Amino acid sequence: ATTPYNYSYIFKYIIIGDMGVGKSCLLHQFTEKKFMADCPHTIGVEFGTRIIEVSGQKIKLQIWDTAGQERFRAVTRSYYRGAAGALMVYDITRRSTYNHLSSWLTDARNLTNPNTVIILIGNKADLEAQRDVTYEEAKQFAEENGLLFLEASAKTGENVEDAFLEAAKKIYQNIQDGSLDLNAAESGVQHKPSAPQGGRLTSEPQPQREGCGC
Amino acid sequence: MSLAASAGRGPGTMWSPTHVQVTVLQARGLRAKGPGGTSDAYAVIQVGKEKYATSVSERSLGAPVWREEATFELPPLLSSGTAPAAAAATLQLTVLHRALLGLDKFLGRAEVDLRELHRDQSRRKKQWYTLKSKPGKKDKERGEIEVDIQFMRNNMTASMFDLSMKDKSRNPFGKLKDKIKGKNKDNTSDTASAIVPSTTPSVDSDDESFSKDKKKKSKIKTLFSKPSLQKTPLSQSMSVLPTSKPDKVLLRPGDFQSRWGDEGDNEDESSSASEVMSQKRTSSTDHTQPNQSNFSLPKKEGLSFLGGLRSKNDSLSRSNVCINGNHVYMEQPEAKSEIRESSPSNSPSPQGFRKRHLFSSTENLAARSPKEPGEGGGMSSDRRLSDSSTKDSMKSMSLPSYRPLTTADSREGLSPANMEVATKETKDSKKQESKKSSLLSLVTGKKDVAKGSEGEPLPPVSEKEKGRKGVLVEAQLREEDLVRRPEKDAVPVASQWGSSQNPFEDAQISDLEASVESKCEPKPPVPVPRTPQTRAVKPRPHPVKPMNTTAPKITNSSLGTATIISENLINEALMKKYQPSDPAFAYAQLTHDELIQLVLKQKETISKKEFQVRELEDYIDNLLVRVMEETPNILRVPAQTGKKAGKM
Repeated sequence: ATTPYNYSYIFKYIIIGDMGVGKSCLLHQFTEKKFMADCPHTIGVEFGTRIIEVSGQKIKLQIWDTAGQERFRAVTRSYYRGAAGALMVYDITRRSTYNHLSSWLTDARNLTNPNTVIILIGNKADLEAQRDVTYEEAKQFAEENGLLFLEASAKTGENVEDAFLEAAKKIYQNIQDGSLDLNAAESGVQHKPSAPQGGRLTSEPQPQREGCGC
Repeated sequence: MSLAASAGRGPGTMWSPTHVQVTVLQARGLRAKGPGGTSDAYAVIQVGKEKYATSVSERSLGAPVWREEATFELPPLLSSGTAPAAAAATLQLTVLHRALLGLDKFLGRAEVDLRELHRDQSRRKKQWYTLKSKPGKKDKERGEIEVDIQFMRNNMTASMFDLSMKDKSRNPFGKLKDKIKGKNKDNTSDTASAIVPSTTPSVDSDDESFSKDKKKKSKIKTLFSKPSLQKTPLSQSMSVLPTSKPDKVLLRPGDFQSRWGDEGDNEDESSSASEVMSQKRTSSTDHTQPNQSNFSLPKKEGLSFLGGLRSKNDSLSRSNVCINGNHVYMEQPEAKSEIRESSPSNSPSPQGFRKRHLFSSTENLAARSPKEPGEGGGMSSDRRLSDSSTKDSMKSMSLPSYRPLTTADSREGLSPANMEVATKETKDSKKQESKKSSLLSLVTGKKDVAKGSEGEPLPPVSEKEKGRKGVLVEAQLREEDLVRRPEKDAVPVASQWGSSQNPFEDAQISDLEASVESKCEPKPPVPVPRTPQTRAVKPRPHPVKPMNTTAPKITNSSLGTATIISENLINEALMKKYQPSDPAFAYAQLTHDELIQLVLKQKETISKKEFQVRELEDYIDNLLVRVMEETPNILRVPAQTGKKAGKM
């Protein structure tokens, strides 16, 4: 942390899905490597960060978590805006959460930019006995809609890391092949050329807190 | 239809219907006035002066379904073939959106010329009518309303009681009413059918139910004397909006809430109705208006009866529910201001309280006799004041109902123990209860009115009412008012003094004050000692509703008293089951109707809360967006220990 930035990119992620599918737990598991057993349900908006490495590049993931998409319309718009990656989560033990995916997907498509990478996550994979949605059908749904797909468990940590990493890889790949224009206003990616005055500084949070441990 | 057809053709058809039964089936394509493209729609149906409202179809997406009926007596003119006044033979349909705050919103209106309809030979016609804008306003697409109109003879099936008709001569159609009245007395043809289930069940409805179920209220009974009417299922659901019940004040909490919000509606309505409406409207008006100031006023004096009621409420606030079935439905936001006023919390000795109530109740029963029943010894102070005031009040007060309400309020305000007493009383004097309830509603309405209705010019009404009242009121007053007034009058004074030795007295006083105020309001000119207090409230003469029914009621009242007493006994028996400390105690004494009212009130409260929550959410929403865009770091989850508890 001697340099202003110890990462090259900031990717903005969002997590969407029905209430109770484990969005916040996924975030917490990813950022803290812990499982919140009785996670209170999220009311407002918050985000967590973690730096990962993809192809030798340090990338800071800024993962936004929210609830109440129904009640906070303005927040929701702002929430989706400029997301480079979206984790669309359902609960494999509750079919209704799976059935709602198409509406979540519609929102994501409408409110994010075309290059936003969307990964479908079937959470609570540890509850195999209560499974209500098969892996196969979800996989098919993902393929039909051009989504990445993983089943994960925020409780055990299974595939949680991979979910975030897979999306990051895809985004980075899009950057490399030029399909994602970093200069686009809402790309959801900030490039930090190792200098504080990096290119497009939008309103993204500054990374100065990195390593401060608070 | 077949009948009509067979009867023959031409305006002077063979059969002449005496009644017309109007069933409001549904509407569609209504404009959305509520959140989410919905409306809380209800329809007001009116023929001549008679007016009924349907229940509120909540959250209807432009297509509410009511299926509620009302039966109107047709002007003889129609049947005889002579040309009846157009207004008297026109069915007016008005669809409104019940607004949580402010005036109800106009959704559309339609008029049906019953003469023409009848000329068409059809005995029954179900048809969609296009809803139009108020006269003079540009037409919009307002949807349509489906109504089933059925002409009948000898309407024995009237589902609803017409409370409104009896006594008002105010309306332009007074003549018609007179005729009707005559009929009612003789035949007991209650043409009424009101439907006003909306927000808060109307007092009237309660009365009806009572009469049906318990027949407690003598006065009411007279109105509903016909058994057939009582049977009708709809009756409960409908309440007469503009009613002028003989004894009771017509105002209902629901009314206040602005069912009638639209100005246009008022215009259409008959004068009597309009008065009522105005009151209601006023009540519905915004809190922000000056009238509210009264509420906020810490001083009891400044407060009108409303304030008094509130004060009572405050003491009782924990149990909003009232005694006797006169629950006070506390009005939510305003309560705070009331609290200040509220007399020091009394732990009233239930017993003493009871006695009092009993006296009052008995008195009420005896009310017919003009004499003022001396209240319990505790009341002495009140009496002093009361004497002078009573006279004035008598003159001024056209509406006996207010008083009862006030008393009811006081009771309500009292502790649960008081409740018991109150219940007894209520039972005894169902009339009173109804009045009380009406009073309550009035009070609440007044509050609202005062708040919202600054702009409305009501003062003239009061004077008019006085004149009317003078005649009509006397009879009523004698019965009920006389008994209570002394108390009330005295009470107000005491309240002014500010310290009542007896907690009960305080409560009563507050009630009395309220009543006095209410009285004063309608009749500002009357010089009452308390006038200064009342004046603040005065602006709203509405509280005084046109209670025209006098004579018929009296007769009934006598009968009613006996029944009431028995009921009281029954109620007492029932009440004993609950300990005063039991939260259920307050509710145990409520009648079914009261409970319904309570539920409706609660629902209203909840919807208001929801609205507030919504506002807060919107605020947070916007705030969050700003944070997200400008200082998102604030939203960052703390790295180490998350805000969230429960980590493993």
